[in-house]
Amino acid sequence: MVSNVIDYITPTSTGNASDFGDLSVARSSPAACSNDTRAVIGGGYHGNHPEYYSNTIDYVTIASTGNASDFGNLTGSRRYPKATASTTYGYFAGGYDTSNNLVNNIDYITIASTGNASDFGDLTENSINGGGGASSTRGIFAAGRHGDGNGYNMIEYITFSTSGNATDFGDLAGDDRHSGGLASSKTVCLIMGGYRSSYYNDINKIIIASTGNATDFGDLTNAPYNVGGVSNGHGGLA
Amino acid sequence: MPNRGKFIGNDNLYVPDAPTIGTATADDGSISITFTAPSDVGNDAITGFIATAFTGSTAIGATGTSSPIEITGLTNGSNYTIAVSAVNDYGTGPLSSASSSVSPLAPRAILGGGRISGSLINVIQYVAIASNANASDFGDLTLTREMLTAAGNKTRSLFIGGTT
Repeated sequence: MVSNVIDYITPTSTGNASDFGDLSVARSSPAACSNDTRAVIGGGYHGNHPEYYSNTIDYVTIASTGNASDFGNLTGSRRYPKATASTTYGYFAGGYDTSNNLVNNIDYITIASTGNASDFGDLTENSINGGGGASSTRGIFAAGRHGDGNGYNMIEYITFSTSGNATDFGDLAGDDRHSGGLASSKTVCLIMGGYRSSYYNDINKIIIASTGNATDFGDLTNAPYNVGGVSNGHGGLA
Repeated sequence: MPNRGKFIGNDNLYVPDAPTIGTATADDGSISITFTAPSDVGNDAITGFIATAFTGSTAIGATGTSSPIEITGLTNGSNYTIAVSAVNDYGTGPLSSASSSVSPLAPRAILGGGRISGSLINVIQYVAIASNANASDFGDLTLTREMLTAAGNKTRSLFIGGTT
């Protein structure tokens, strides 16, 4: 069943999650990004048929609890997009469109406002799944699934200050995989877990200011995919 | 050189008054403090500011010529208050009032939910991004699910939507 649940934790502690509120529309595989104040959630789907793919953007005020509010719309309906953020802008990339084609669109929104997304540029390839990380100047996308069956180890980045297309960053360490989770500090991005022919518990690490291949970091407690990844020190935070 | 013949302060002090403290923002091993310079600069122009982080009997300072100033070399997890003083050629002025207490943090990567083989999970796990270590158990989501997303700030991480 597709869920509208939002739950939260205090990242500096440990413990079980608590209820935060609900999405405006229940949906699976949305993408989310945030600055210090707001989390913005875009895309996803609430049914397998393309007519149920969503262009909805919701937002919540992180410091409060409560249900999400309408923000605006993506430039198109997207299933399985990924997202990253600077302190000012949120970026939503890739996904399936309503013809079930993989797309390379990168949309952006101004997090502190409300309104519809605008075109920023394109990913290096059409892709779905995966996630985003960020320094204060760069957004990272990785762990995506590509239509041609190649490039599953691809890492790419955008430069926040210049609208334009993404650039190749380097490759994952080890086997190709997709649908892992991303989380970053302002300097390091981790790419965690994933799946292709096997399930992966390893964590890859990249230095965001560089370009180059990932290195091995450590292991997860298990080997999940289709996860949600987040950090409390990413580049969208002042 | 001190400008002794052109006294420009209004309280008979040669050094600047205290700045007005602003907001302290913690990061990994550091705190950035904003402040407003005093209008009474003493008997000469302000040449800089000193921001000091206090925890217990320990004080760690940093200098700058304008707001904000970043104080580095702090201990993650310790609580600090920050005060700022202004400097001119006569010396260092009094400390501002203290900021709210903040604690530098080592950013964590946090992963929630997902699927392992044929089973959905509610596991939340985390790892310190600067550590190169293995992940540890954090707790459980309120709802077991996959294909969720996540976002958050320094104080809250949200896990959003998905399929149960």
